[in-house]
Amino acid sequence: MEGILVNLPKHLPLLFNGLQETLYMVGVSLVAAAIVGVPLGVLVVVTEDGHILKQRWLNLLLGGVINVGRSIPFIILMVAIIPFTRAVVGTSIGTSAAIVPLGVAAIPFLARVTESSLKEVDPGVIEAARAMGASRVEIIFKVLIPESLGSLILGLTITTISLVGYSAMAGAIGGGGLGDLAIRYGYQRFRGDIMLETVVILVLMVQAMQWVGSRLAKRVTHK
Amino acid sequence: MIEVRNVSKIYGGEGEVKALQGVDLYINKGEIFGIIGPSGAGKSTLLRCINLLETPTTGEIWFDGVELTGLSSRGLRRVRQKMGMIFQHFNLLSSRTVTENVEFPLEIIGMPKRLRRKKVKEMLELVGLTNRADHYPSQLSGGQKQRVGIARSLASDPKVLLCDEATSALDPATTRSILELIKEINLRLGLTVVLITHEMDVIRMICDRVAVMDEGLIKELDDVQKIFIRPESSITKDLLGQVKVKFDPTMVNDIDEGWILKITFVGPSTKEPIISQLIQKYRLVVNILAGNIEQVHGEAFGELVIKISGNEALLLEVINDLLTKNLSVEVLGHGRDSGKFAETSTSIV
Repeated sequence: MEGILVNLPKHLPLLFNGLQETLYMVGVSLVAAAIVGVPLGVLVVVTEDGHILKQRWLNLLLGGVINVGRSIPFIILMVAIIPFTRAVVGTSIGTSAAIVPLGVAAIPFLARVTESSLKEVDPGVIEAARAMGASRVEIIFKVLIPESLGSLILGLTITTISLVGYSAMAGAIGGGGLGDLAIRYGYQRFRGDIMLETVVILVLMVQAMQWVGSRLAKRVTHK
Repeated sequence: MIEVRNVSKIYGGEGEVKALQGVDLYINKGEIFGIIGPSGAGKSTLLRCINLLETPTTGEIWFDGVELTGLSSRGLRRVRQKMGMIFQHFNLLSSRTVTENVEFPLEIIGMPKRLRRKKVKEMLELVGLTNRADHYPSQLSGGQKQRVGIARSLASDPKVLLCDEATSALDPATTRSILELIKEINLRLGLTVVLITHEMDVIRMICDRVAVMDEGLIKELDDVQKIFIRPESSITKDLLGQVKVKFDPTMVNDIDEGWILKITFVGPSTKEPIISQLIQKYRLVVNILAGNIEQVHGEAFGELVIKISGNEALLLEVINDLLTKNLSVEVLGHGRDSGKFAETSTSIV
């Protein structure tokens, strides 16, 4: 244990760099995935039978696409979409390149998370809004999303934490980050101390994310 | 005000359900119109057809001179903004405060923020919830939630208020206060109210007219008083059993002599000492078996089950006397030793 503490100051720049890379990958891919995934989830809910925008075929199609996306293992997705990654960021190696598969993987995940959150909204409240003459857009933005906001925030938290886990795998394409650090130094170079430090940072980070997420969710929920 | 013309609603799919089978209805401006029926009678579907939350399979809905089933979705939204609705489970937005809930319909009609706040204040005063303006629905009792529901439904100055079992989730005292509030608003604003319920008590307390529904059809439709005094369909009689005098039929089956009469009286006659008059005039022996008196549509409505003894001629005279006083009399039964008249006719009205 002593050895770990002694070497910690020397490792700090390395660890800090890894943390930055992880946050960058997770942050950017989360935002990108939310921009596509959340509306996708909303669309899946409202096009369902009996909902405000019933579209049976669109609903089945979207559901199918999401399922396909969710069934591909991340490590395979990462390699499979290399041409797409190259087209988007110009390279298939490095931290920025890792963002593409991370974002793509998070889209269907987030769509399902959004779907399950929105389905918790009491159908009676939607009916009340319809009875007041609200349009579909108003129902989505004034009823569905605000009413499920707490649940959505918890869903985003789960997604963020999953992305932290996935981002470790992105080390395989030179993605960098804490996971990569743990594998290259800790595992491949038998540096138990760096491995342990990385894991501790990851644990603390996940704890912090969950704490912030839960607090935020609680603040917006008045059930 | 509202006219439902030959509306039917059939839910398709396997095991097709005919929720409404050709309903005609006319609701006058300013009245409180009740629709009562057992669960599954189609009353909820009928109410939802009025603001087209449910689209009728066939038939027309007229509101204020406009036929609704032919409207565009935009036109329909406009019309709905002129119809308030309250619900059994209140259906308030949990993410909004009381003020913000009442503000919701005003946002939809596009009222500027400053005016909205003023209107919300007025509405909360109307329902007596000014001191709860910044509470969330989860912090309110059921009765308070329904008051918010009422404030919300009235905020956009609707011409009609649709009440979907609005008091069914509330205790009797709260039910009464909510019904009083609805009545007060009806009188003050001249608002037309359509309510559905499965409780005759609700009809009794505030409705002007009532439609009795069963199996997707209107079985009976009349002024509330008339329905209470002379129910015609068996379903109405069943429903009236909820509020009418509780009378054990075994009391009728096991008597030796005399007749059992049920006397129904309404309005001024409830204040007359009829029984005491009978006793004095005919020197009858009267035994009171059951009775109650209630308010129906603002008038007293009483029922009394009595047993009287004496010879047949005298009893017929008594009944005639009662009938001339505008009371309704029903012979429920008679003793073994009583006359032939009672054998052949068990009901005189």
